[in-house]
Amino acid sequence: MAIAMRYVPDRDDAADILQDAFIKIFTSIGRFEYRGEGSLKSWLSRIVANEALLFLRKRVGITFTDDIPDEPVDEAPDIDSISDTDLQRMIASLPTGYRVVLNMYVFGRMSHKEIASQLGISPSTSASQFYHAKKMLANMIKRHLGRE
Amino acid sequence: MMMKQDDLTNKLRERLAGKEASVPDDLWAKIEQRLDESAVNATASHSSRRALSRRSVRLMAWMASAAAVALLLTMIGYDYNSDTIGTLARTNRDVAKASSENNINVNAVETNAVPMHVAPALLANAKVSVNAELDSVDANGATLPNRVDDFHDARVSDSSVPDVKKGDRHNAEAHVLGTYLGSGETMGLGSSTHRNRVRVGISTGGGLIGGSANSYPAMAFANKGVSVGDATAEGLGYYSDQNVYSLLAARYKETKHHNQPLSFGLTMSYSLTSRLSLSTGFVYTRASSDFISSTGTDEVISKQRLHYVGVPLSVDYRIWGNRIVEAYGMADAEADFNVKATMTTSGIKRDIDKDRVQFSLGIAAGLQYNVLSHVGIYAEPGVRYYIDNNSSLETIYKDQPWAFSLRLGLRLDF
Repeated sequence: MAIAMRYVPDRDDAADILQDAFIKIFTSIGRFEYRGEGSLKSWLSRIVANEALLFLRKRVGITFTDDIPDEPVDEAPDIDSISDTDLQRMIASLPTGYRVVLNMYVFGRMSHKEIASQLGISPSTSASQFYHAKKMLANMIKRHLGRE
Repeated sequence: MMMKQDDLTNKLRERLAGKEASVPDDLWAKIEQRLDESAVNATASHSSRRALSRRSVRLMAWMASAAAVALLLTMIGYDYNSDTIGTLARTNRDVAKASSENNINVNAVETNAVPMHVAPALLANAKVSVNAELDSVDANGATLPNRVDDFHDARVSDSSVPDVKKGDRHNAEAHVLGTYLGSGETMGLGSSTHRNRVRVGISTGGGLIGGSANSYPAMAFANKGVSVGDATAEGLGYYSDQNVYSLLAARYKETKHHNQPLSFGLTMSYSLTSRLSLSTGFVYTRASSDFISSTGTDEVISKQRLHYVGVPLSVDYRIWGNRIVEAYGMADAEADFNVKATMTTSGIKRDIDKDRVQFSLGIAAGLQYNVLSHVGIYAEPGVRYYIDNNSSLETIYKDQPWAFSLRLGLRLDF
């Protein structure tokens, strides 16, 4: 559920994605090949993420914005004082393209080449989107910390 | 900076990668429901796909076999029967012409021929007041004794027969001919051209049966020296009582030709053991015969058409085989029911009495080539015997009870 919500912030949509993902898991479990510890979790996570991407493509479409943060951030913000809920909310508020690439890179542990292949973009676009996603997220964290 | 950016990536990963979220309470119920629905749909879809696939294969196979059967029937029917009537008619005319050039100038007499086996009976019942001295001649031209008495007991319409006197032979002869050459079924017993043809019946289980048209010896008399009609050929110019019949007989040349029946059938087999199987089905057979009666240069053609629906029952024994080729032997019995019988004479078609049930027995050897795993083409040469059903109809089955058979067909396994 958490994986689905990282891609699609709306809880109801995330529940639908989870349903679809489990249907696919149960009907294609015969195709899973165990490759050591963690392989099952990785396989399950990949299926959920793919269903989320499918949902986004169908519902809203994935656009890769050129909304580049104005303020450059030199230092990585300290996120220790920020709750997980706030972090998830901040990630959810990112533009769709930024959010997808961020999730795929950070949590999906995919290379930009793999991301580009799956999204139909170039690796440079993927890297660019990720860079800008982190900058925007950092600014959000900074603003949140500044308010506090 | 990159290091710091990587720090953010790692921190995010550490903080949120294993993060769990609560799911809606009814999530699992919905998942189960959808799983049940998808299972039912998958089964129905699979079955319908399989059924559709089977139907498609069957349909395609039937269309292909029907097309092949139709083409083969057309080719063989055209090849074997295209010139039957013309050839026979020409033959008869040639014979008649040769006869007339040598012996007799024959009047054109419009007639429907009377069967030879019927003519004597008619003549026996015909009353002919013949007072003339009619001499008959035998085949060698020798004069035979007058046997007027033989005809005096004959009965015919009294007012219609004039006395025949010398010099009046033409009228008498013509009248007598007109009396006896009445309407009736034309079933020739004259000489016939004899041809050995292979009978083809193509089916997915049908038959190709060989046989030949039967022929009967001509009942024509030698007419040397006998005057008929207007012209008086060399000879006596008289008629004897017996010669009246002789003349009548001499005028007939009745030809009978049985065309090779065409069969088309559909059979199904059931395997009793790995080698033994039982087959049955339906066979449609069309048997046609042509009867040509000629009175000199004219002929009347009557076409008999018999339609049979038969039920075969056969036992097949698989002798040897592999995935591609199979060899087997078979024995079968068949009952053919005549469902329709027509006779067309001078363009007029009418129904006639149907033939009785025709039983037959056959044995054959079979060879099948499997073009596909479930589709094979086969050939079954064999011998067949048609049991006499004591029918009054003239059929090829009656004339040629023993026949060589060859079945070609398409076999589908289900």
